[in-house]
Amino acid sequence: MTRDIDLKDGYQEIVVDDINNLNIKGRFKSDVLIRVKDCKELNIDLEVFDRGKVTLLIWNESNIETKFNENYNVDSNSTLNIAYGDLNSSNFIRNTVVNLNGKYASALVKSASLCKNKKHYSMSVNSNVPYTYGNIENYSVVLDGGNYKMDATGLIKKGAYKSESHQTSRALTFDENQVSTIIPNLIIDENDVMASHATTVGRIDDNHLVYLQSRGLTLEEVMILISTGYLLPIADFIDNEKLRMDLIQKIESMVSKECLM
Amino acid sequence: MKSLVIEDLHVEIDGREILKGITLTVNQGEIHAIMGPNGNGKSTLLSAIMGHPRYKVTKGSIKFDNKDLLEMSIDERSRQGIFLAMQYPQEIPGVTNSDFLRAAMNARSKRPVSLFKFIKELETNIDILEMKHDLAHRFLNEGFSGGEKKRNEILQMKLLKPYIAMLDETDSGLDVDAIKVVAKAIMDEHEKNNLGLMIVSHYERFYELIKPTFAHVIVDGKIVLSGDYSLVKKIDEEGYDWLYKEYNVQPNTQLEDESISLGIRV
Ligand SMILES: Nc1ncnc2c1ncn2[C@@H]1O[C@H](COP(=O)(O)OP(=O)(O)OP(=O)(O)O)[C@@H](O)[C@H]1O
Ligand SMILES: [Mg+2]
Repeated sequence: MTRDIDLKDGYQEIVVDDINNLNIKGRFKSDVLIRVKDCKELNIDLEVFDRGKVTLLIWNESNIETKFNENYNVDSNSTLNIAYGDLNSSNFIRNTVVNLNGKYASALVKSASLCKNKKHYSMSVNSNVPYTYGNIENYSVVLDGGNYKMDATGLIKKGAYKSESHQTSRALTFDENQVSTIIPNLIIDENDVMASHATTVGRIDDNHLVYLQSRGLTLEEVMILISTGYLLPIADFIDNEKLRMDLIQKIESMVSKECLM
Repeated sequence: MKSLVIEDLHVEIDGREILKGITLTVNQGEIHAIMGPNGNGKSTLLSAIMGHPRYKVTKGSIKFDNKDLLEMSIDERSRQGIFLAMQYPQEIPGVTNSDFLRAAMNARSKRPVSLFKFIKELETNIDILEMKHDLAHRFLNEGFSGGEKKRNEILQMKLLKPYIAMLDETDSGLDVDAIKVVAKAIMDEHEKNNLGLMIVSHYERFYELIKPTFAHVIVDGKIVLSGDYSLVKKIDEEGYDWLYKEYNVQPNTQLEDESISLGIRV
């Protein structure tokens, strides 16, 4: 099933269960919560038109393996923010491509994942024209049995001068029995640009654990505290108060649930 | 009244014996000064009591309130009412001070502490310790100055209300005015809640404000001498040389690194 959506100005919610294709047009300042229920395949096509500002929170509640294919096109003077909340406990593969097609187009893509299973991402933010800005930030807590893969690409095409491409990816683990791979790519075909990337994959520092435990917190309680702190930054860029509080609360309760299991 | 009873405690780190038979009893409401030259086992003693996994007890016992502490994990010991203000507090990015404090308070109470009560207690103690209010909302110890970290340790102590608190060089890093503020905050807890204290410090200036009734000197992993407050004064004036001679002991002068404590290199 396919659904065409013209985003309104302001806040709205889209629930995905039997939909496979979302064609979305953003012309205004819109904050959108997309709740993904059980869904095998989801294709999203979104275009942000000139002067539009679209903030998407894609909250994954699927209990079955999902394949995401997402294409975003961002026009001149417009902004796209995407926050992925992937704290659910089913597998997925996600392929995200963001094209910055007009001057002063900007995109910020953030993900928070709590990973006890297979979570494979491939994302690319492409600066196709001059004066564009792309930023990717990924935070993941990989728990026992988790298989996390993040393949993140920042691409600046030839001629897209004065563009910026940044990315930060961090994966935190608590034990050895997990896989986490981060592959950062910067493909830059233009000189007059700004680009950066930072990557960390690491086990929690034992001294941190001991310090927090010495105040009476059990290992699970420490994991909840640290994981929550680690994943909450995705909420930062959501201006809409309701959407932000909602997200914080969801992250907190999902983290508690997963860490106590 | 609860007592911490340590008998013939031997502790190893990475296969090296650091504590070589410590026997000491600290009752709730008492104040004990723990002195001794650098690198001779003071922090090791406190860490072993707290239950730091890196410190291996090879012999002896530690009991609190007639319960075997050696059977308990570090967090269980904390919930029993033992507290350690660390010589080098850790910086924990991503976790705000107030979220941490609230979680730690909840961990030891049957019902969750209400937000209202928590904030009230937090603010009151922040004022008592003359701390900046924004420290509560920053990440735990991250970027805190040396003195701010030490005050934050005592803030935790005040909120967690232990029966016995061990303070490891809490005074170092505090300016002259701050030492008075912090000492007063500690003494309040002692007087109001009958807090028992084990205090490690190198300076009489701090002990003067806390007034320990007992003093012990640890040299090379053993308590070589115990006494009253006059022992603190004598060491302040004369150092340790007389004691090495009189008691025929050699300090551990493997001057490795003063900044090693709790397995933390800073
Ligand atoms: N985590 C550790 N790893 C290796 N050695 C350690 C560790 N902690 C302590 N030690 C060693 O154990 C000995 C006792 O150290 P401890 O920290 O207990 O001394 P201290 O009496 O507290 O000294 P100071 O007055 O300098 O704080 C020292 O030789 C020290 O180097
Ligand atoms: Mg020490």
